[in-house]
Amino acid sequence: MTDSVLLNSPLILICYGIALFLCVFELFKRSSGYVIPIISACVSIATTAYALVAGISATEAIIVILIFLILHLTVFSGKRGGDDK
Amino acid sequence: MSFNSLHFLIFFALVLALYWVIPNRFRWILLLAASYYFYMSWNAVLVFLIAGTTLVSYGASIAIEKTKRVSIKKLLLALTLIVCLGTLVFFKYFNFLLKSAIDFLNLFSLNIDSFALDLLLPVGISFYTFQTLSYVIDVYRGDFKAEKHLGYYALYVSYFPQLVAGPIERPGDLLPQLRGEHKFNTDDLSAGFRIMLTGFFRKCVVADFCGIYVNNVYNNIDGANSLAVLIASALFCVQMYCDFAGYSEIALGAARMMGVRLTENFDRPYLAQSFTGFFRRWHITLTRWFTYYLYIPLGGNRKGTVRKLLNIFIVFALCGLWHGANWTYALWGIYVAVIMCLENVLKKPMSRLCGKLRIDTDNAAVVLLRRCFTFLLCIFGAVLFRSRSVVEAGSLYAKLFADMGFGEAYYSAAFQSLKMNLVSAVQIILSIAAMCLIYNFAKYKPDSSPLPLAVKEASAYSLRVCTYVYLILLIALCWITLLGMGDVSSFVYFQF
Repeated sequence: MTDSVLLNSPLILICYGIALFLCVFELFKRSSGYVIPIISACVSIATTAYALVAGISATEAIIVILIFLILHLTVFSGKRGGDDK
Repeated sequence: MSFNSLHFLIFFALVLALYWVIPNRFRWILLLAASYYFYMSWNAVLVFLIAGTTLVSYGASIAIEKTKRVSIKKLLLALTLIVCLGTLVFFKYFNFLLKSAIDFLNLFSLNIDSFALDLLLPVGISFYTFQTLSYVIDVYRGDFKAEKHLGYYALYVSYFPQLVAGPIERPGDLLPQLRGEHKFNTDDLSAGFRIMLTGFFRKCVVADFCGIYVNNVYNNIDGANSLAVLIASALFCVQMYCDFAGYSEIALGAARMMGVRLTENFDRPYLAQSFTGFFRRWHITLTRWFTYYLYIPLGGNRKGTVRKLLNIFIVFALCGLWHGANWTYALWGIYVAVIMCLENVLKKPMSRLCGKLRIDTDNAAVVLLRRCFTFLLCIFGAVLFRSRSVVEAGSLYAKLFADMGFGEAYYSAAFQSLKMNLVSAVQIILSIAAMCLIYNFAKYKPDSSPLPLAVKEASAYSLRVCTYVYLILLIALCWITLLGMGDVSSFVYFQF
């Protein structure tokens, strides 16, 4: 835990926090069309890119991306139209 | 050249670029050359085997179509079956049959020394042999006209996206597409790319990581307890699905990018509420092959209940053996066959019982219970499927049912034998959750909000691109991690 770049970098934590808040907000409100999920995705991807440069471990990065991917897919699955494949 | 290798990515990018550059009438030459190169990258010598099978079935099918006498048609069909199946049996089952025969004779104290031929199992032999057989049988039945162009037929047998592990295509589904004219289409290109990405996600992010913990338990059975075996077997079910469905999706995506639509091989099998339903959703093209070319010719369900059960038993016992030359596969086939027969027998009494007890079988809780029960049956079968020998499977079953316990020490022993810590457990759970949701990725389209359509389409496109970036990042990170651990594995179904 003490070696974790993610937990020891306030900037990365704040950015992920913003992205998470936006995603969760959209998940419950479902009011903004696609704008908020896109901003959230962009923030989380940019933060991950920065975190990788800063030396975050692969496992940490994988877990964080998985969390955002799940939220992202959940938000999106609520927005899809018909049931065709 | 495995799909999850850099070699394949470079190879595919080159073939795809050339495919869309050259005129349509020359594309079969490119694809055939690429397919043979793809096959030769596994073993160059064994290319003569696939070429031989192609030539024999090509000649036989033309002769079958030309001849008027039914007896000669039958003779030609039988000869082709003997040659194609004979090759498969020789390369895949000869040593197994030899060893089994020697073991059996040694039961009578004959003391024969065990020996084996130094045979190399040709990659994908079960798949392309079945595809060849389906072509010859369809021509014999008159369902499909024999292909006169040797190049197109050779491409049908060796089409590289589905050469080594399916989907097993019927000639009517694939050959006309290979012959047809394909115009550059960005929709097909993006759909193919998306399907390939989900395939790589299943393979690199889910299957390979599950495989690490499965191997930890199955390579050290003595140190495992019941919980460890149960978790490892459940993870093996997930690994098998993601590995094979991932391969199929990469194949489907690669073909789609070249304008060819292959048959989908999986339809969320773990949502099935019965074993029968499971096999309708799992490896669909193999089940279809056995149904068309074995189950129905044997009489299907037209000759009474007993015959129907016998047919189901024969089909699934052979399906088990198709997977490999080992008694574990044979026993797995028998296990599946027995459960399928039991389901058939118990179907009506169970629905009558549910009616009497006023149980709504469509109730969400009942559906969930049925799905869990089906998954549990899959786990018990997975122990047989994953074990290297019947003795090993026996000791795993003994562990599963006898070595039960409770308490912190017991749980920590289970996770120790899995070599799984909290972080890796979280990673596995999250990756499985993402895998369940990724199915919806295919369904994205503009929502019903009152925004202008162009804005909605642009936004949906942006969100899709974000998902692509997430997936590419994940796949790259997992692939690099696995490379670092030396755990990048080939696809499980390549060995079949």
